[in-house]
Amino acid sequence: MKEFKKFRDKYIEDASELVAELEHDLLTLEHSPDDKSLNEKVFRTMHTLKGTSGMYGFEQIAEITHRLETIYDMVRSGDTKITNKTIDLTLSAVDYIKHLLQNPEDGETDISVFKNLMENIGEQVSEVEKDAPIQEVTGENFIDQNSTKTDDFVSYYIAFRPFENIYDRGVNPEMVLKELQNLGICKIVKYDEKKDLISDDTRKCFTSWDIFLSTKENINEVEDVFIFIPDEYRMIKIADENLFEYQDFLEKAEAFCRALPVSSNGISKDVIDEFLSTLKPKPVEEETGEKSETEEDNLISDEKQKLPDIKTATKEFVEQKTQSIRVASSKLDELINLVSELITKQAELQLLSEKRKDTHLTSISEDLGKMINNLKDNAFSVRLVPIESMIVGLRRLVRDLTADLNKEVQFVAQGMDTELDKNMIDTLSKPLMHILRNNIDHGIETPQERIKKGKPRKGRISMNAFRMQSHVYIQIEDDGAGIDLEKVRKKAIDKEFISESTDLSEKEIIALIFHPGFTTKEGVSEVSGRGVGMDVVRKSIEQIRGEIEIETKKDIGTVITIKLPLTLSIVDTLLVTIADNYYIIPLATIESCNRVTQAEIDKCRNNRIIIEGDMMPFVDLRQRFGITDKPLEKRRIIVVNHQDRLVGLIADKVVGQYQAVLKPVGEIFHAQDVISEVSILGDGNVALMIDLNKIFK
Amino acid sequence: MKKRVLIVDDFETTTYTVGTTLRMQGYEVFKANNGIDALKVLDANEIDLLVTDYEMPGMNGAELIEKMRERPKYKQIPALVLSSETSEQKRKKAMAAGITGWIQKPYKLDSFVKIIQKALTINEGI
Repeated sequence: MKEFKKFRDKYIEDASELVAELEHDLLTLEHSPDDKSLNEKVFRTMHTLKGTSGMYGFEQIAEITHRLETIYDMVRSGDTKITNKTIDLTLSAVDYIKHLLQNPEDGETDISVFKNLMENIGEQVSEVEKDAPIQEVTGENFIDQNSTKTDDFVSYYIAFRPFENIYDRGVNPEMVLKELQNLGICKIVKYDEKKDLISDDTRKCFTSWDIFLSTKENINEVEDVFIFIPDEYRMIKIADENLFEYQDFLEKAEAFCRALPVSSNGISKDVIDEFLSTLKPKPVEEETGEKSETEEDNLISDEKQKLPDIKTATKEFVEQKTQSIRVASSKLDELINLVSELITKQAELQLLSEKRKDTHLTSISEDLGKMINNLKDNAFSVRLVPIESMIVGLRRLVRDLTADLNKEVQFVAQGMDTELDKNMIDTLSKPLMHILRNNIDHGIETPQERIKKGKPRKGRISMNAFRMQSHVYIQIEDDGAGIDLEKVRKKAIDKEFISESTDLSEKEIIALIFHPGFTTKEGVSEVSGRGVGMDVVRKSIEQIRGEIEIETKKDIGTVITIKLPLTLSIVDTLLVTIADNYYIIPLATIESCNRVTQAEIDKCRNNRIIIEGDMMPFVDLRQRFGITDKPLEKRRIIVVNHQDRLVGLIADKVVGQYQAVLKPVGEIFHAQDVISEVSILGDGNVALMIDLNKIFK
Repeated sequence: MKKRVLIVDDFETTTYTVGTTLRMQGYEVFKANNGIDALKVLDANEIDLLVTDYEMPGMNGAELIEKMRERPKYKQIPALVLSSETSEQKRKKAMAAGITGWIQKPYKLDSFVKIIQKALTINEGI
């Protein structure tokens, strides 16, 4: 507060100077009332006084100058003339302001002078303002800082209709929504998605929102959220209660908003009231008995009045149900970690119960296993985030790049509500950006080229996300020039990745793109050449156990598919042994397990073997890990599907299916890359996860 | 890193009070007395937020923001007009020119600080 006093003193000093100046100017103005520049000066001084006074608690000065300023503004615009009466009034105001500056507390103890003065000014203003519309009283423009929370919920309906240029004003509508969500419980209905998704101009905002908000915050807090966009929303207070306590509110609100015409400018109070009257109250815990439909309808208004009692009874329960809460992601990581530990411990218990042949213990352990499994699924679902959270950044990239490169692109995103683990989303955004950059820089042609090729002038990039079984797929498709395979091949020869005589399939040529240090564009373009190539993209995707695939057709376009697992740290695997060590292989990649004898293996040339009629390359893990003692005669070959090819892995024994909780390998193992993670088995042994991408290199 | 705020007003009182308030809040404050000088400051530095008066000799606040938006690095940087101007028409015009918000004077110190904080985050993620 000490600093505040310092400011206040400085203000009083400055304001006193301004007032003295004002007084002087007023006296001059009295003699030459038509002096425009002098009037301008008086107006500006008043303006400055008004602007600074409120800040330091001199609200009266702010109000007086605000009212007076109106008169001088009208003089300025030629709507009225300076009269002696005006000067008199202003001078008496100046006297009072001077007095206030010296005795600030007088403004509070005796407001009669102030009131009197305001009345006089008010009269004068209405006199000169007869023709002009009356201005708002300044009091309403104050931002109330007393954001006292109310005890009860109040619900609002908000129609949020950003102008198209909202991004260009430095306002991100998503941030506005985020702030609203911080105030209370929100139901947000997004509109006009079609237009938004296939927007012609990514720089513009074509989206609008309908929001139902139930909050305990003061209305000023809610209005403050829209402080920068006062013309782009409309808010109606719709109820003095928490609407989210109604059992069918969420569902109905969505349907209700969706049913509105797209161009609707929001909902009127009457329509809302009608909608609210259809809501069913949250059921009471005790059964109220069966009611027929019509009976229930008749009872609704009745029950609604009774609702407050019901609410208090079920309040706690209801809030837990509907409220979404924000949690630090570190806490979620910790939760997953704990669940992982639990899985490991349970495996230990399982082992123990089997050893002791204690049926009671076994049944407890199995039940516990099921529960932990549910807990695991639940904990993971909490971490899921819709892909949409990345989309703003991507849209922005497309917009900026197309402008920079003089290209025209329509960016379409679909399935953005598909969910992925938060960590994956974080890792994915960079590679996706790089892919889009490539699409726009290398793929999409300039409008002139496109017209020459008989394509629509505007290029199209679509991003599509969907879930299939235990994987999420993200596809990015463009209708650009496609990848010139011949060019890729030549480049690879130039860079000595392959030799002139190497005969490669289309797929193999495409795979060259992922080779470190590969780029076809002559000279590094500013856009794609930021030191990251497709090899880095692939690396980051493999880091989250994903796969990437490219399909391309000259002049038709390119499709890039990214396949991602649903979860990161708990994976179904096959547990195998080599010598006395345990290894695990992701179950999703395994095609079959077969017996094989050491004699058969020894007969094979070029590490190729025929399994069930398919010839495939194989890796003998024994050899690979440098184990030299004599192998067993009977061994196992695990056939995995690696990048669309069948490949064999030869192990000693197959133990069985195992749900592995993965932990990163310690730092001292970083020199190798065949083992990507480790998992601790129930008996305390360590199983090593084989990284298929590395072992088949 | 400290956020950089540029304050533009032809009245020293405003730049002084606003500037000191913001400096105490931990912002790095730049000042200019007119639009031309403000643009020079904008070009020479990476400013995170512009706070400008509306009525200024030469170039008004909206014109300044329009000029600022022409610079690629300031396309989405928040820009506030701080004014006791009550003309709805002027405010609308300024909105079209790309201002982030219009702070109506008079205002209280702590709500002002809140607005500044809000302005510095409202463009996140664009």
